[in-house]
Amino acid sequence: MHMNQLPNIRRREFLRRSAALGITGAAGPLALSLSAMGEAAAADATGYKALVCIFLYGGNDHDNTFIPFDDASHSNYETFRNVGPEEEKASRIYWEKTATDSSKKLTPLSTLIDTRQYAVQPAMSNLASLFESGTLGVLLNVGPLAAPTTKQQYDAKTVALPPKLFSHNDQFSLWQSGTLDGVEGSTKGWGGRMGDIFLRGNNTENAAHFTAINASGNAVFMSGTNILPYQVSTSGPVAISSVGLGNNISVYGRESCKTAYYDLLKKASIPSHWMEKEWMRVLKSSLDNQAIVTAGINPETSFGNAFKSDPLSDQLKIIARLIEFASKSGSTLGVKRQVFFASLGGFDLHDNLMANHSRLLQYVNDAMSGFYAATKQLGVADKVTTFTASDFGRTLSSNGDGSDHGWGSHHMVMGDAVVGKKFWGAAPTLADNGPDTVGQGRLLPSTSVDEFAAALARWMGVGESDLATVLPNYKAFQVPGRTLPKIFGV
Amino acid sequence: MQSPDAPTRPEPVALDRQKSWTPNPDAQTPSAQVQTDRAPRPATATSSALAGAALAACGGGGDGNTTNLPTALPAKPTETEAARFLMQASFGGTYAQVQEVVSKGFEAWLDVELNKPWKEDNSNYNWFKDHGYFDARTLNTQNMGVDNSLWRKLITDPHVLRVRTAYALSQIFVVAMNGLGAIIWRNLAAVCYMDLLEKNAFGTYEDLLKAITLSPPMGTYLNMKGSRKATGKSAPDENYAREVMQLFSIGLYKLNPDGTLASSNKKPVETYSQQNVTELACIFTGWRFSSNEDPSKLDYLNQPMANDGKYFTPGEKQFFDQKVPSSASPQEALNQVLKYLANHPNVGPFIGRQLIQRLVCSNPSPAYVARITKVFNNDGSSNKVRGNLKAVLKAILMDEEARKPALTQLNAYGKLKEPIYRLAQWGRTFKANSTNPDAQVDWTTGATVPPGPWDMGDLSDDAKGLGQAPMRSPSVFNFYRPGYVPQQGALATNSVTAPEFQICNEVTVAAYLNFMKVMIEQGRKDIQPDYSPDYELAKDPTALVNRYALLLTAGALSETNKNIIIGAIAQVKGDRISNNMLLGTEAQDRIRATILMIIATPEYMIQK
Repeated sequence: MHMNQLPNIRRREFLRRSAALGITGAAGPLALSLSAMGEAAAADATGYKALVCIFLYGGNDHDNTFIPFDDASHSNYETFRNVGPEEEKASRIYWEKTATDSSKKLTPLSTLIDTRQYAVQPAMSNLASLFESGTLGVLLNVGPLAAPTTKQQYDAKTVALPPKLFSHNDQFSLWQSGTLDGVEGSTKGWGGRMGDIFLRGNNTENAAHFTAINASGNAVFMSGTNILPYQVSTSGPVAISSVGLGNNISVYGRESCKTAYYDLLKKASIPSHWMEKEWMRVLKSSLDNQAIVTAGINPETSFGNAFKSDPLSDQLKIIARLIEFASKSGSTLGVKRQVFFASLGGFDLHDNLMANHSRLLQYVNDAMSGFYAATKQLGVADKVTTFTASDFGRTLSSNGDGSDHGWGSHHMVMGDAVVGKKFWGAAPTLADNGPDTVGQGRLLPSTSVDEFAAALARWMGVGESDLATVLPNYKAFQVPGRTLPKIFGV
Repeated sequence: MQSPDAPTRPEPVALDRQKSWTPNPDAQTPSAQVQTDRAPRPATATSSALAGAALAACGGGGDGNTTNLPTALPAKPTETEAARFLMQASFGGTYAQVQEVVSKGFEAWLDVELNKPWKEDNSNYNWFKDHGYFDARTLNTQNMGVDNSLWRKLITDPHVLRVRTAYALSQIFVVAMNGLGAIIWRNLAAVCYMDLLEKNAFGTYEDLLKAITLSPPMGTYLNMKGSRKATGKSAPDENYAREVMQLFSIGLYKLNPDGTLASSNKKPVETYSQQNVTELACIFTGWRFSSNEDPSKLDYLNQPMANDGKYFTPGEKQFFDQKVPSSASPQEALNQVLKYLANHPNVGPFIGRQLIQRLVCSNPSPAYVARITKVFNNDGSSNKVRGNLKAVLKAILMDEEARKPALTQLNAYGKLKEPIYRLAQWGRTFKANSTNPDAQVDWTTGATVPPGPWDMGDLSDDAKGLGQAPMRSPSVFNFYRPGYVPQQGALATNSVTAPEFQICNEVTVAAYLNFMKVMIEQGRKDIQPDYSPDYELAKDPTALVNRYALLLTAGALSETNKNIIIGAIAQVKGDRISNNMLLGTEAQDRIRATILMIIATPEYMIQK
């Protein structure tokens, strides 16, 4: 039992939904189950689906991830990036178009958007292949917006802008919270709110705990009103040792201490102090849920050589194991929709971008392609969609050996449900302060995070009518002429 | 209690304590402590500030439960009050240290600590030198000696307030190991930065800001080192220019002196624009290390960076409404900017609130912040010094909101002890030390990170360590944000900031208990506690548990939990022997079990 919270949640939700369905209190049919109501709700939760967010903390340099490759764009890119003191030419943040050395040779993607072509770094070769096979696509120039914003409106200051642009902590919080005021200090995110919607159809204790699972540290993205994000390590849940009464358990070899430690942790009354209570909530969640997950996941060898070992691959591997557990028919976990969170830090490359960026993108490449292979093995590649996100993109201008904080960026979406080999959105014009840029080549987003999130939420089965709950500001983008990026076939 | 970083969220609900405050029936009620609030203290500069201020708790406005208390502090603290004070001013302490505070009183104790000069002999730099780390084999290594020396200081440095303050500053003016890769002596650079924070902890804010700005580790971490004047389309690096404003001085929005947001037409007012960032970046150009990274001259890591003007932006420069004349040297130009920032009215509430959060409580009342701002702006001395950190620290720790025992009963008061704190508190309370403190780094083991004394290792692994280690924040945004609000429960509902919860989750709570269970029994390599002074006390289970409840929780341990522990350890009898090995005497196991069980309770976890 989760500190008496769930019965309350159930009661509240029951009343809320009863009211929503026009059933009043005691007059409502008692037999009406919450799951039946879930089906009455807009969310379609048949079959298993999972959404995996890979957050690239620090602000990924999109121009060196998807490198402008057609002659005109590349030459433009070169004027901004092949610059700096002659004696430090080696550290320029510039990828040559014609390099032939295997460590420097760019892989152009075959799909053009308008006349524009992009290439990826050698480190991302697996992802280039997934693109070409139709499993991966790229959403160009996406970022937080308050409303559709043209350059004219931006210059004339006639449109509201998201708060605290270019600030790391606030921008990653905005991305994750999916609300306009979702800066640092936010407590709910669109992953968690999406989970809340699905909880309507499946309000079990397990569903509340295991709908949003995090493999990389607390993230606001995962938190909903009723959804309680659950944290695992890269090797799975961590058991608290010596909490139990079995013969194999010992607290410094003293029976009485074993019993007392058990009583203190397992039977403690819930404190009234808010911080003490929150500590106990997390402790209880750790104690109560660990055994369920540990018993359900297979040994990590089950994916053969799909995964390499790096900070991101390790996270996606445990996520794959959790998906295996949750998606198999008759799973004791009993959740049909899951949201996962993984992250990789280090992208804030003001210096030494060339050396460090490739190393990080290699992790992204290995982790994402390994994860895709694992979902193939599990037969769920069409049920799992993975996307990248980041604090912001970076400046097109170079500071010699790095780039600075930007705004819009390019992001990947991967999975068999994705209609890949495509660029979605619009290819921005490369300029210092041009039609798509607001100084030093910072991108003014053409697609908002809300629209990106809405497309992903719709695929997960969130109904049109529930989008406003998941993404309160999405309505600002429901204007004639704007459509969601067509990431999926349905 | 509202985070100054979160202006656009709705105003937090006023905390109605008449309703929300339901005392834990198990908890020691404050009444006993309240009644010990005896004679008023003699009036001093600090106490007069206390007396005039309305009693407002961390977490919000006035409180019917406490307004009838005397506003002055007792002349002599009780043991409980002293233990509580040491949790804020140090990392807790031994019973002897508690008694020292009782006999001296808070203010005298603080005056002694604040006037102890920085001891260079005991610096991390000298420890590295004396223990064999000035060796080319440590070049380009990530870990060597860092955890050793930093934990040594956290646990044994007698200058407790200075160490606690430097540790707090290291979480505001963040530099971390993972961003020092461009320094070949990066391990030494990391600990030299902590030395610099210690050295400047009791000076002025402006001097501290200047020192960190030109320190080689910061120059590397936030990339001011090597940033050059614009040439063609290549622009100066903006990283330090932005973060020095956002994180180290003024923050994003204009603040009232009490830390709440100043607004204009109900909208927050930005303190700086992207344009201002670019302006500062142009001024912060041309800096490099003061010498080559020559193994014979490692002191360059303690020296400010140098600027020969070659890459410094020439000509007249502008920032905000200020002009930097073309005649200004790089140093003069930099000083002009830093002076401007240090004199910005935001600094007092912005930095003051964070220092309160690091030392005392997670969501100080606006009145508390305002009192600290006042001292920050003017220390009250004849010189009217601004940013006198000694005065600020004293005001923070002597404030009624830090000292009133009754406030500990409020639902939103206090802070979660972070993992580093918990281990440091255990180490200090039980006098952990290296069994071989004078040993040299041992190159004979062939290990990538050869052991030296104080071989704590990197504890930042979430699952196998503590999920936190000194100088190892994942980014310049620290392990947790001052505006972090936990995502669930009453803290979320009431928008109560509680930064340390950002690293509290199912994995880290489990890892913490597992780590400490072993640490308590076995120590860690050469790092061993000394429980022997309490062997005699351990004959009396009640006395032992009461003592440890005092030292570890400042008396907050609930009666229920106390009785569970007393009952359990009373049944621990005789030696524990396995395979002819003595694993624990009766006294040792009683001590170990008592510590483990206390540090697993919520009363321990929340410093109040």
